Amino acid sequence: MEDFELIAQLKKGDGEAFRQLVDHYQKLVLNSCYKFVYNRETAEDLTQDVFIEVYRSINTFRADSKLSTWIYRISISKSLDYLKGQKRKKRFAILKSLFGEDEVEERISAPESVGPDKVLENEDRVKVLAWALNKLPESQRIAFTLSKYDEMSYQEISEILGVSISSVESLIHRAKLNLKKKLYSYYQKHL
Amino acid sequence: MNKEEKILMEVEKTLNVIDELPNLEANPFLFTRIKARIEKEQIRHGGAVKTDFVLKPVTLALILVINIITAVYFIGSGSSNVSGASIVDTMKQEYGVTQIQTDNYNLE
Repeated sequence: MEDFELIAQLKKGDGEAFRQLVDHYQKLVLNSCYKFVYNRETAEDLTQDVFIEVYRSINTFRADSKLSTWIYRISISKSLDYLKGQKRKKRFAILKSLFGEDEVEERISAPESVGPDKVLENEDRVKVLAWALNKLPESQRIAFTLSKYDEMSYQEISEILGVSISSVESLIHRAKLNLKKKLYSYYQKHL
Repeated sequence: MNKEEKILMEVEKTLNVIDELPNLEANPFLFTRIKARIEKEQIRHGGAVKTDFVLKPVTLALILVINIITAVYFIGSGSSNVSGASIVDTMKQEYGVTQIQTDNYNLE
């Protein structure tokens, strides 16, 4: 089924069309969320949230962008909302730890495809990378993540972010420089 | 290898982790879970609507009854007709005043 047919069916409340939409986009949503939160369980929860949001607001979708672009935007927005919530929780947990309560639980896991000998090393590296990415300005982070992880073209990223292609180029360039700087300063302190 | 080179190597290795991140496969029960959550929300919203539907007329009826009772009470108590003169007498007794000028006050 073509996207426009799918959208029309979804707007009519067709359950089978919704199933098709989930089947078609689930991997894309799951992986785009995962590249922001680095935790499978969290990414799965966020994937559910994304599709529920799609289901709720399909009537507001005016098809001035591609369906995949719209779903990407929702995925990014949900992931960033989650990360902001985590930051708030972390600040609160730091306060709690000052009063002798438990430390913050890290929710970043190791990549699952690497061998057991590399797991520990990669686990640390992923944590460091996630930390450095979290320090980037939001637009740089999104542009870099979509470009590097999802191998999206600048054109696609510009549609998702609603900015020009030259802005995307600039964002990715600055993101790479900033990321290297953050990592450099991290290892300077920790080596 | 000096420290500078070591740092640069670590930075490079960490950046390379990006390419090693797995491409996740979706949970086969994902759709079932989403469907269950949507249904749960719909039931919850449906329940709220039903409650409103029942509660609104009950609340309105209750307000109406209270209004009627209040109106009946005031109309009924109107017949006991407390006059201005009796209020003045009561105040005289209360404050121990023997003479009070009431000419300027049209109480009766």
